[in-house]
Amino acid sequence: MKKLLLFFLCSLPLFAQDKTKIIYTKETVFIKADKGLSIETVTQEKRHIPKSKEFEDYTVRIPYNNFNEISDVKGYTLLLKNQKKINLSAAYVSTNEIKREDIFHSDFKFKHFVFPQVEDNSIVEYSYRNKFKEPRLVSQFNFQDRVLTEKAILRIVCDPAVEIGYKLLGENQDKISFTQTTEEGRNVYTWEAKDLEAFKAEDRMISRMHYLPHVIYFVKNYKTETGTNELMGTVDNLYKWYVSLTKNINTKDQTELKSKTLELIKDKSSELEKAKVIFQWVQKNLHYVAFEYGMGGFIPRDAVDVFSKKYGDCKDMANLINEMMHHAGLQSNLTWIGTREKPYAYADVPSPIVDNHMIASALINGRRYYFDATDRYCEFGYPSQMIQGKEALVGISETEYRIEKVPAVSPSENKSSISFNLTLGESDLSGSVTSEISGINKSDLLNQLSMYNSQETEIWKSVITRSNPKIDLSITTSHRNEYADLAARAEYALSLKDWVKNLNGKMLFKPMAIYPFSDAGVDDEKRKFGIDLRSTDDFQITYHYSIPKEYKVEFLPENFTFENELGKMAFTYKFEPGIVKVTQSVVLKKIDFGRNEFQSWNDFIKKLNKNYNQSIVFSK
Amino acid sequence: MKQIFTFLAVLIIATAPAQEIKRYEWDAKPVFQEIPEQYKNEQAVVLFDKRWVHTRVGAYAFATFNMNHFAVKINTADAINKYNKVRAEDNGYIRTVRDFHARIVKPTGEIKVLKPESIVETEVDKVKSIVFEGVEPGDILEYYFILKENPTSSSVEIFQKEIPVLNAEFSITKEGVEFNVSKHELFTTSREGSKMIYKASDLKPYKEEKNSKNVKNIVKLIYNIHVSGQDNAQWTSFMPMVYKKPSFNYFKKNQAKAFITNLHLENLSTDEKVKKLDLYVKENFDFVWKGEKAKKITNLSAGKQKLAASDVFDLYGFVLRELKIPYEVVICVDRFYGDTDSFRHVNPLPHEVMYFIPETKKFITPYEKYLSYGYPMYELQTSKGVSYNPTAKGTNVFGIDFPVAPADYTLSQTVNTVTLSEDFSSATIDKKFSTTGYLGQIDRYYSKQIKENEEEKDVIDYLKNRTIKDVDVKILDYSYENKDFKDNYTNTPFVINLKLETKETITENAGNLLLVNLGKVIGKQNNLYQENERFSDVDLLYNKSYSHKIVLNIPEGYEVESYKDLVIDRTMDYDSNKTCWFKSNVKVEGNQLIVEVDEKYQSLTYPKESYQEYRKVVNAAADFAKAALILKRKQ
Repeated sequence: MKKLLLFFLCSLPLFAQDKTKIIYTKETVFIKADKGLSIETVTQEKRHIPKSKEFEDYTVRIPYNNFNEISDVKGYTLLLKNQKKINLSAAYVSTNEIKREDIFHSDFKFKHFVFPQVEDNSIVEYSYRNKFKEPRLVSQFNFQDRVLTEKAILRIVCDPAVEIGYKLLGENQDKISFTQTTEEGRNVYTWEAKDLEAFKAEDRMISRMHYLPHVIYFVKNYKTETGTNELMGTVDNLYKWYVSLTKNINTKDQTELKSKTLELIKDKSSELEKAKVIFQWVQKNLHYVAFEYGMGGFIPRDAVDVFSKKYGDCKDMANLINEMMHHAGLQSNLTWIGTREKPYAYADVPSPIVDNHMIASALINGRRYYFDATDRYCEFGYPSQMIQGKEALVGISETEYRIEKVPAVSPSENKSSISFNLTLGESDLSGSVTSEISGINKSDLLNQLSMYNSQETEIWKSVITRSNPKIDLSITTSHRNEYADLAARAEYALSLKDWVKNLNGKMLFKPMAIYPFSDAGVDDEKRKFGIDLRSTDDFQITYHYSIPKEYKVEFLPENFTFENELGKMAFTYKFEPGIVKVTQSVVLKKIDFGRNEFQSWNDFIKKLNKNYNQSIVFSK
Repeated sequence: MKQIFTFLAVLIIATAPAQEIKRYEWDAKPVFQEIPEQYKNEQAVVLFDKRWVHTRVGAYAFATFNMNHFAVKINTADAINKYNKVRAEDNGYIRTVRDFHARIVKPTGEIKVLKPESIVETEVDKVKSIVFEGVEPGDILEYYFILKENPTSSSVEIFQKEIPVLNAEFSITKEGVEFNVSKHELFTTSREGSKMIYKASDLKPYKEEKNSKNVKNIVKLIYNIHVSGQDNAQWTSFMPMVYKKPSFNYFKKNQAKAFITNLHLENLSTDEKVKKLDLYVKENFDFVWKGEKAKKITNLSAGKQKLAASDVFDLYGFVLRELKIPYEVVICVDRFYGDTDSFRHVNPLPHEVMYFIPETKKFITPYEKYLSYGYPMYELQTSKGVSYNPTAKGTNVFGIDFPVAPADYTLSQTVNTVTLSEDFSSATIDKKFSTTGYLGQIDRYYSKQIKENEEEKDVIDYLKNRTIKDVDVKILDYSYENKDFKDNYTNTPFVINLKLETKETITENAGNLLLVNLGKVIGKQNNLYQENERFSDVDLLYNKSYSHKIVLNIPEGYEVESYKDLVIDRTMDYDSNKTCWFKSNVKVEGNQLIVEVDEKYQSLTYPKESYQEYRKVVNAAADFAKAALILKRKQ
């Protein structure tokens, strides 16, 4: 009885909360090198489910693909009220396909099961084995989950003949202890984390992998009777593997492809012009269809096939561009890269996990250009939005590669120039406005227009009305200027009703009609993770107001400029009889910012809004 | 031998339509309809979308054959990626893909048939797919496939798309089953032998709109299948079968009887009895949700506990029956999804089930935890449903019209006292936010749920969003009034009292003028500024009224220069009993400026022809939220 009472008292704090928690999650990785290399993980996890209506908390999905073999899925439910244990029947473990809109055909699957007969205040525990068929594709371990984790353990047990590499990444690293021991002649690496709070993603956040504590591990090499086999662990080895996958991909006759290339470049004299015409031909004519099946997820298809079928995924497009550029005599290279979802450097993580994308790049006039045709409207010469600031692995030859950093598109290249030419009426504004959108903003606009063609008018108008829907526009002309060195341009007729206030012979109005980033403030008390702005920005807005000649200015706001590490702004006001000229300049210098910059950001936005809310007063 | 011949003859006749669908082929040299001028600038145009379902169910037959034949003309390169992939998939129960063909018809007339080896198949579901190769603008992409599947009892066939559809066709053949088809009004019906054919032409591109019956309006067909002679979906069969006699799974009749005794309903009117019953159930019984296990109930009167939803429903029926209160079981489809079929239950339309008390003309909604005995769910207002009287003899299924709650029933009201800080950098707002009717019942329910189940920061977020979205505020204090479920029966306002401090200024300086953005104090207002065109009627959730009072303590040393912006009077030019309006007026009393707002929508539906009139009222509210008061320094 005493024991029971003790058990009850000890259990109280453990189960006092009414939210699901992971009591422990443990992954043990066994790496053996007796008859070749074998890698298998055993995953075990135990959860407390206080409320059985939290169905998702005891529904398990184990993702895998054809490089893995999942077996021995076992589990049970323990009802704490009566200690009744109900085993998970193998019949209830199903195999399902992962269906993704952006991938046409893949081998992505998941094992799925729901723990049986869960009631309020239950324990669920499960385990499974995961055998890796391709040792280069061993995975990572996340310590944090969407529910509270009391204990998370990663153990790597490997033969002494095996040398591994690892990297602990993300936040909360102070909560993770590491030990390296030897057990029965094998090296054991253990990471243990305690009391990690539930991870809740936030909108517009920088890649979650930047924050989630996780270990990426890989096999550097292993020894057999025949010698040492190098696998990963250095960028050299990673590149060697990539080369082995790509060196024999283009075996078909390229006569037609070459002839098309020569046709495209026939009037082009400079290397840059040649690169441009090839890249844009691929953008225009190739359509993104992704195949992620087995090694098909890593190996580009023959350029001739891609050329004739006119579809492919990133690596197919990269390969086609690369081959066409070679036919044009350009120094083009296949280039591996991780998108901004993968916040890793090659030196830290020399493993395929660092990459999830392929592009082509070329060295032209001493500068490297990056060609990502998966963004159908990416401006020539700029990287696509999703690879800005990332390291790229440029394959120079079978033995030579370079790691280069893709630049972010600068604010001046992402310019939105908007000019208003307006007349003040009794109570309304009327006139015209012109917008010119460049860089990544242009690419985003054209992709939107392409995707939502039926909303073309609304999309063009939103360039102006996004921050002030009260503006009534009709489109006079619009030019997408796809694949041209021109901004996407639209002209509109504008009417803004009840914008001017008449006060006993005085006229008062707000000269700023649109307010980029006015609602971009961050709740710095609540927000945990940094903001991904996607791109830099440069809004250059001018207003030319015609006012009745008889009015003179009674109050004109003061000119204002401000700059901090995140952005700069400038507002100017100039009055001439019958005319007021106002300029509004807002520049964002970064593509993202972290918690430590929230205060600067809010300060910036606050100043922006103060200036947006200025009014001009005229009197007769 | 004669018997064998007879058997074979029957078999041949019985399998004839099945053979017909299996033999379906496209034309070797296809002829397509010319694209009308009006669609020449569309990204792509569907030339035809033909579907044919053949279902056979019998002693040795249980299969559906599903044929899809589709052709689309690609006008621009942007459209290629939307239509160049085909997945031979239908209801998710594929047994075999019998045929799968795809071809490209070039503008020159050249036909390129895709090679079968280009077809890929998923490992688990065995779904076959193909990508059209070498597609260019001007091409016509055509494909057809025939699947053999396990039959499903119902399906929704949507034909309208974001691009025009010139011809839509749906055919049905059957063996051993009957189809019941609910079709959009654009479809015509014809018959070719035993084949039923539904055709529609010139389907305009689909566009989703705010406050519209988007799901109901999309051009589609719904079919339900039943085995011949076993039609249980007709209301006359369905209602008695399901609702004739209340029964329970987790407690016994004598417990239900004890429950009635414990309610102490003696000497009460019917209305009072039902209220008391409904109050007890809504306050004490929660449903067993997905993942939870229903338990045997030992005492229904033991306060808060979880019951199976069906037991809660039947408990109402049982009590009404025991108390000899005449009642009807009524069923109606959510009006945003469709209409109630007068003869049968149509899957998968969402049918709402409840009780109607003829004596009081009120509804009990057992499945809606937020809603009290009184009006039906707002989604059913103005709809026609079916009613079943389980105690009546003879014909006991009738039609029923669902009533509409008037605009005054659902009132959202705020009283705001605004005081600017001395340096105008912030303002304090004492806000009384109250709601009645549907909004009041929803607010009462969700406020309770959030307070009981979420963390305090989530409560604060909810309060901000609900009461003053668009102004960055700190909630200094808040309290609730009339938060009990019983207040629903008297339509007593649910009240949230808030003391707020803005985190930023609501004023702007312009020389010696001070602009106070007073309008935003009433909270975020919807607008239709950019929605110039309208393709469908406006359909609101419920009739509703708004009333706001804003009292501004005019800062010392200032006087009112102009409040013109805050005075708005817009009324829709429409039937005076149904019209809507937004009216605001302003007065100055001593050192206070008082703004009063009256906004009302008296009809659930406003025809698209009157949209601009409706729009100006909605935009008036948005204009008000942007309006500023102008103060000036006293001389």
